[in-house]
Amino acid sequence: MTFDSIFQIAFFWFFAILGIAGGIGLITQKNPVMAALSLILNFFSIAGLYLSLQAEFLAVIQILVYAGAIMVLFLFVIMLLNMQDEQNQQFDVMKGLAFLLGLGFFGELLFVFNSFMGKSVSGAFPLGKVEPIGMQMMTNYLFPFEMISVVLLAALIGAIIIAKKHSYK
Amino acid sequence: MNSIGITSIIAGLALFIILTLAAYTVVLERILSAWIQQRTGPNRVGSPASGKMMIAAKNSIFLRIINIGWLQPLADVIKLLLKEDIIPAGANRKVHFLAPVIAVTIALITMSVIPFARGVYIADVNIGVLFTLAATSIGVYGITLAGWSSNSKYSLLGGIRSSAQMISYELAMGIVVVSVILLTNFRMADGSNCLSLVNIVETQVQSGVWNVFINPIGFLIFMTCALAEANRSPFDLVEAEQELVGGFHTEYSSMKFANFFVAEYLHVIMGSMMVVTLFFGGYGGPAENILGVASWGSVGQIAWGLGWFAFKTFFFMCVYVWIRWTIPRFKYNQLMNIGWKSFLPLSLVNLVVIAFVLALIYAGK
Amino acid sequence: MNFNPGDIVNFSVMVAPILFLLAVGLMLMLMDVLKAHSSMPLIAGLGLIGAGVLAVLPEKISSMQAFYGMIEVGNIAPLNIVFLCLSGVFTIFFLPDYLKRQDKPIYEVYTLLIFAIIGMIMMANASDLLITFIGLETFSIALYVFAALFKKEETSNEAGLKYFLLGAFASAFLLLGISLLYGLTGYTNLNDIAANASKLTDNPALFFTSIGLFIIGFLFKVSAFPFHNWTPDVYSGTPTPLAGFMATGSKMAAFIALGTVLIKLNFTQYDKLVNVLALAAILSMIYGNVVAVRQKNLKRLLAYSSIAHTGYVLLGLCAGKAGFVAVIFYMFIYTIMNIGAFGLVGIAERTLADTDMDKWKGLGIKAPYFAAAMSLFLFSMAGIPPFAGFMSKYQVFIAAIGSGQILLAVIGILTSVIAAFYYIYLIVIMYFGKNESPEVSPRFDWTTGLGVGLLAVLILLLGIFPSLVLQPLLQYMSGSISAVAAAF
Repeated sequence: MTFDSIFQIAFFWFFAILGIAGGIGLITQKNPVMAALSLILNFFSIAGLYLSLQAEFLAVIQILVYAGAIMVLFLFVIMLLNMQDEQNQQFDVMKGLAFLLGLGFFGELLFVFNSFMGKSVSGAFPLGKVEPIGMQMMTNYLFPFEMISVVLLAALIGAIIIAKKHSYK
Repeated sequence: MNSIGITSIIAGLALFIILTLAAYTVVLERILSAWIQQRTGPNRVGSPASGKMMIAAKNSIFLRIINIGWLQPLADVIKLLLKEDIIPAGANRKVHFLAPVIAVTIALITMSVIPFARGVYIADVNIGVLFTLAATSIGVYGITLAGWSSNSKYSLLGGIRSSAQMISYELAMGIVVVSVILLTNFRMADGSNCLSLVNIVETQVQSGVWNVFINPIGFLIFMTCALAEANRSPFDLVEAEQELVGGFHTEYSSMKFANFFVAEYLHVIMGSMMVVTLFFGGYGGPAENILGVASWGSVGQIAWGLGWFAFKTFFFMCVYVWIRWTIPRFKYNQLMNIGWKSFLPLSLVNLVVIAFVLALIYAGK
Repeated sequence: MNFNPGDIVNFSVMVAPILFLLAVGLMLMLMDVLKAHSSMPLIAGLGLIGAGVLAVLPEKISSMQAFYGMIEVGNIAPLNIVFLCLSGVFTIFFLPDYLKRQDKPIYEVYTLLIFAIIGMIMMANASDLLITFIGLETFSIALYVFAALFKKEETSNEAGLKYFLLGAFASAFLLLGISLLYGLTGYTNLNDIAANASKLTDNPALFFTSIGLFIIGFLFKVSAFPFHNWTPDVYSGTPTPLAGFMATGSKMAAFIALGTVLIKLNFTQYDKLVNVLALAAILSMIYGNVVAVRQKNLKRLLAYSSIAHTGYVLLGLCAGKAGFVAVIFYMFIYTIMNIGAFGLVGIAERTLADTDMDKWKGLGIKAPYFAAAMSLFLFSMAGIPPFAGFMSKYQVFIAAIGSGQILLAVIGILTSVIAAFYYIYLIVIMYFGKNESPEVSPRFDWTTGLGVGLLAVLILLLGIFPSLVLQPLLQYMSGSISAVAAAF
C-alpha cells in the first residue's frame, strides 16, 4: 500500500467517524446550542468526505451554505428564543416501538448498501468540479435550475406571511 | 504547484509574518488614531528616545517617527498573559474555551490561498475565491459562540447581532465576488479555473488593468462588506460599548481576550489582502511591461511582487483605521437597511450590468 | 455539450403555461403592493384559465419532452395542466368570501396558490425525478403556509406545524428513494431509467428499497392508510376552501406523478409493488370510511372521507396502465365535488362560526339552495348513480376488475356502502333534524353562488355524459401508450 492510499483511507475514516459522532451528538445533546454545534461538526465532516471524492466545489458549497448560512440562522433563532435544555423524557411504548422500527430501517439500509459495495455508478459525470456543474446547470439542468427559484420565492412569501404582523380586531 | 517543502516554508513564514503584523497593526491603529485626533499616541515602550530628550526635541520629525513604541505589542501580550483568566460561573466551559480558538483559526485560514507574489502562495486551490468566502462565512461562529457561552446578556446580544450582521453582508459580498469571477473568466484565454485567486491576480497583472477600474462599485461594496465582516467601526455593533459593555467579549479576559483582539486585526489584514487581490492587481506593480519585470529572474520578481503586495495591503490597512476613527457607528436598523436594501440590490444591479456588457462584447467578437 | 439559444426559445414555448402562470404569480405580487386587492381573485382565475387554454392550444408538438428530457409536454401532459388549473379556479370561487373571516385578509394567498399550481404541474408532468422533487417541494411549501394561514387560531398553528414536520419527513423519504434509484441506474431521467430497466433487476433489494421509499413519500402526500394520521388535524385547522384544494389538487398531482413513474417502470410486473399498493388501498378504504362514520365535525368527516377516496384511487392505480385514465378521471371528479363540499362547509362556517354537524340541523328548510347543493355533492361523493361520483367509481372498479383485482373491487364496493351511510346521514340531518335555536343561515354571495352553481352543473353533466372528459383523456392517452411502448 502506498502512502497516498493509506492517507486516503485514514482521511475517509477520520471524517466518517467525525460525521457519525456529530450525528449522534445532534440527537443526544440536551442543550439545543450543543446539538446545533454537533450538526455543524457533521456538516464539516461531510464536506471532508466530498473533498476525498475530489468534489472541491461541493465541499466548499456545503460549508458556505450549510455551516456558514443555515446553521448561523439556526443558532440565531435558538439564541433569540433563549431555548432551555430539553427536560428528561420518560420512556414509553411508542418510543420503544419507534426505536425498533428505526433500527429495522437502519438494518435494511445497511443490507442494501452492502449489496451496493464495490459497484460503480454508470452514467454519472464528474460532479463536484466547478466547470462541469456550471455546464450542466446551463444546459441539461437549466429547467430545474431556474425552477428552484420558484421554490425559493414561494418559501420567501410563505415566511413573510407567517412572520408578518397582521392586525386583527 | 509547489512542492511540499516549499509550501511548508512559505506557510511557516506567512504565519509568522502575519501574526507579528497583527500585533503591529494594533500599534499602527493607535498611532494613526492619535494622529487623527491630534494626540501623542504610544511613545514609551521600546522607544529609543524618551523622557526629557523627547520633550526637548518636541518638534523633531525624526524623533517623532522613531518614537512609536516599538515594543508596545510585546508589552501588551505580556500584560495579557499574566492576567487572571476568569470564566463566569454559569458559562459553558468547553464552548467558552473553543470560541476564541475558532475566531483566530478561521481568521488565519484565508491566508492559505492568497498569492503574495508570483509563485509565492501556500496553495493554488481551484475554488480559491469560494474558499475565502466560506472561511469568512464561518468566522461568525467564534463571536456567536463566545456570546452564547459566556452566559451574560450583553455577550448574548453581541453574539446575536453578529450572526444577523454576518448573514446580511455576506450576500452582497458573494455577489460582488461573482462579478469579479465573470471579469476574470472573460479575460482568461482558455476560460478555465477562474475561481483560483492566482488566476484572478494574473489576469489583472498581465492585462495591466486592475479590476477596480472596471468594477469600481463592486470594489466599494466589497470593501464595506469586508469592514462589516471584520466587525469594525462603523459596523462594530457586536461590541458597542455604550450599549453592550464589551459586547461578545464582555466575559473574556487574559489570553482568551487577546485571541479575539488578534482575530479582529487579522480580519483587517485579511480583508486588505483580499481587496488587493481581487481588485488591485495583487502583487502587480505599475508599468510592469515597460520595466520588463518578466525578465528579472525569480528573486527579483518575487521581491518586486512582495513589495507591491505589502505596500498595497499596508495602504488598505491604513484606510481601515482611517474609517474607524472617522465614521460613527450605525444604528442596528440602519445596518440592516444598508445591507438588505442598498448593498444587495446594488450588487445585483452591478452584476447584471457587468454580465450584460460582457455578453455584448462576446456577441461582438 | 453544444448550447443552442434557439433550443431554449423552443422549449420555453413548450412550457408556455408554466411561464405564463409564473408571470401571473409575479403580477399578483405586484397587485398586492399596489393595493389592487379586489381584482386579485379575478386575475388569478383568469390566469389559470389562460394557462389551461395555452396548454391545449398547440395542435401538434415537435417533441414529447422539453428542456432536454426534463418535463413532459406531449401525451397527457396538457390535460394534466388543464385539470390542475381548474382545481385552482374552483378554489378561487370560495376564497374571497372565506378570507373575509379575517379583518385583514392575507392576499398573498392568491400568489401562493398560483405557485402551488406551478409546482403541481411540474410534478405531474415531470419526466425527470429532479423535477418531480422540485415540483413537490414548491407546492408543499405553499400548502404548509396555507395550513398555518390563520396565525391567531390555535388549530391553524397546529395544522401548519404538523403538516410541515411530517411533510419534511416524507420529502426526506422520497429524496432517499430518488437518490437510491439514481445510484442503481445512474439516471434521474425517467425515460433513461425505463430504457435501462434491466439495471433495476440487477439488484432487487436496492430496487425495492428505493422504489418503496419513493412510494412512501407519495403515499404521505395523498394521505393513504399508514401515512394518513396528519390528515384530520391538518384539514380541520386549514382555512376550509384551501383544505379543499389541499385534498384535491395536490393529491391529483401526486397521483399523476406516482402513476407516471410507476407505469414508466412497468411496475405491474413486480407483484410485490402491486401488493403493497393494494394493501394501502384496502386499508385506506376501510379505515377512512369506518372512522368517518363516527365524526361529528364536518371538516374531520371530509378529511376521513378523503382518506377513503385515496383508497379508491389507489385501487385504480393497482390496475397499472389500464387504470391510469380511471385514476385521473376519478381525481378530476373528486376535485369538483370535494372543493364544492369544502367550499360549502366554509360558507356555513363563516355564518355559523362552527363546523359542528349538529349546527346543520334543519338547514334544509332554512337554506334550501345551500342544502340542495350540499346534498348533490354528498350524493355524488357517495357514488349514487346520476351524479359524476358514480361514474368515477365505476371506472375505477371496472379497471380493477379488468386487471384481475377482483378482491380489491369487492372491498371497494362494500366500503362504498359504509360511505353512503355517513354521507346520507348528513343529508338526513339537514332535512329532518330539528333545530331548537334558530340561527342565521348560510348565504351565498355572488362569487360563491357562481362557483357552487358551476360545480353542481359539472357534477350533473359529467354524471350523465362522462365521455366529455373521458374521451379527450383517452385520446391524449392513446398517444402516450404508443409512445411508452416505443420507449420500451
